[in-house]
Amino acid sequence: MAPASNGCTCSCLKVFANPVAKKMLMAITGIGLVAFLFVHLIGNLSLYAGPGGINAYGQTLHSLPPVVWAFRAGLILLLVVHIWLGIKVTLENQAARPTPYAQRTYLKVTLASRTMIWTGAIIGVILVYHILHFTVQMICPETAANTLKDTLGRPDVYTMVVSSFRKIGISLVYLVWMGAVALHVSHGVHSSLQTMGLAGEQTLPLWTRLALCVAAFVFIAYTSIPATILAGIVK
Amino acid sequence: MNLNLYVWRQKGPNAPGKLEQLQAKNISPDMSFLEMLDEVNEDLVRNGKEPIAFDHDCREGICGTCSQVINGIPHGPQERTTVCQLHMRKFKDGDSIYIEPWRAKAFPLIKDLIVDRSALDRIIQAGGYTSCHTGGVPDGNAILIPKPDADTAMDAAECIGCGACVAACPNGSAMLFTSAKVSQLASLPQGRAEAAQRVCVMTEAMLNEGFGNCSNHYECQAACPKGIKVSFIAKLNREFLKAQIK
Repeated sequence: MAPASNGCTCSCLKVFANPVAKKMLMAITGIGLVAFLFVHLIGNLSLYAGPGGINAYGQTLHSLPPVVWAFRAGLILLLVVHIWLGIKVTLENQAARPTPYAQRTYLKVTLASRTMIWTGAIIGVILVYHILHFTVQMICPETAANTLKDTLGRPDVYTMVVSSFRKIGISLVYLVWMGAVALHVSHGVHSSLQTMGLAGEQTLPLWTRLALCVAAFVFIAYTSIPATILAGIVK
Repeated sequence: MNLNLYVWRQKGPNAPGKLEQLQAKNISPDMSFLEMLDEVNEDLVRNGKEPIAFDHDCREGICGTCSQVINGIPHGPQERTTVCQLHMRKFKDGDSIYIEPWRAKAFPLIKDLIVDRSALDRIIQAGGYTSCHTGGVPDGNAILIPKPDADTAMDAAECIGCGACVAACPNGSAMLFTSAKVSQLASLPQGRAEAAQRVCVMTEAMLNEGFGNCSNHYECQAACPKGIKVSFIAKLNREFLKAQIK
């Protein structure tokens, strides 16, 4: 074969321009972010254990700043790579078809697969809101856990969460957010497995169903919190 | 049958194009889609008008030359069928039919429904072959190939290089085409020797030709007239990973 005598012709630098390498980076960072969704959920669900549960969780987390910051650094890296590649790939894909079809009938694409960039954008924008809300605690300063303490002197995360989600507007923002996450994940999970070469004729339909299950689980688990608070089950 | 056609007409690569409304009259349901276009062209010529330029060659569904997007689907509404093998009985009298060329930056339009698909040839030229040395003819059974591997290679080799996968892909990606050739050759001992290099140079060629990125819409598989599966794309991805850690 003419181009090279042996091995792969992709140099280390060139490899990230390769369309398959870009896909794989998208897939790996995406899988990392989905894994984070599950880790984050463990903390969220501690709300159901009452003020003792989530306040203890919050205090434990903040007594370990190196761990929290290492986690945040990792997340920022995953997000930056995922968002940068998402935008780059979308622009390249749009450039690949400068003249659109007058008539188009899709046979296989899904709402999720066609809207990855838009659900991604919604996730990104509301993520900023979420950080301002629960990390920086700017959205509802009157119930900020940084100032409000529980009976044991711990930051009162429980009251902050419950009083925030009692406001229907805030709950709606999170509902939209989780809808976008679920749609994004319902394509992302099986797409990542296909991209990493872990799919075959028999397994791909299974991964598609797995992706739907993951999306449904994430949506239900996360939105259960504002839903139960609004319904008055969690007070 | 009488049909109402909307056909993309464009005089040349840089000329402006538009959908032109044309009538197809007295069409037999037993005609192929291309024969229907032949009839329309006869009519146009009789009336001193320019006939529709479209690509065709074998008219047997094996050459991959006919390339038309019919009502928004490459090769039209019948599954696993090229335009030349699509028959007018698939349509109803009085139907409106939109006929457009393959749309992709990598396939520049030449005229009307004809596009230049040499970009696919250049992907093959980059690495879609095995290097052979001249000499005596090797014995046919000297290299044993397991039947499942031979079957996989044959399934991948069914690709006729028509470009419907590119035309169907919302991203204008040529992954299904490239993966078919990569998988065919990587499944056979003769192709394994250069498998790592091949997957890299062919995917690089894909990028250089201006094709989009695969984002697993799987529209390509649905449009492929030969039923090439997206599992070959997963195989290409595995080959690419193997090439990186070699």
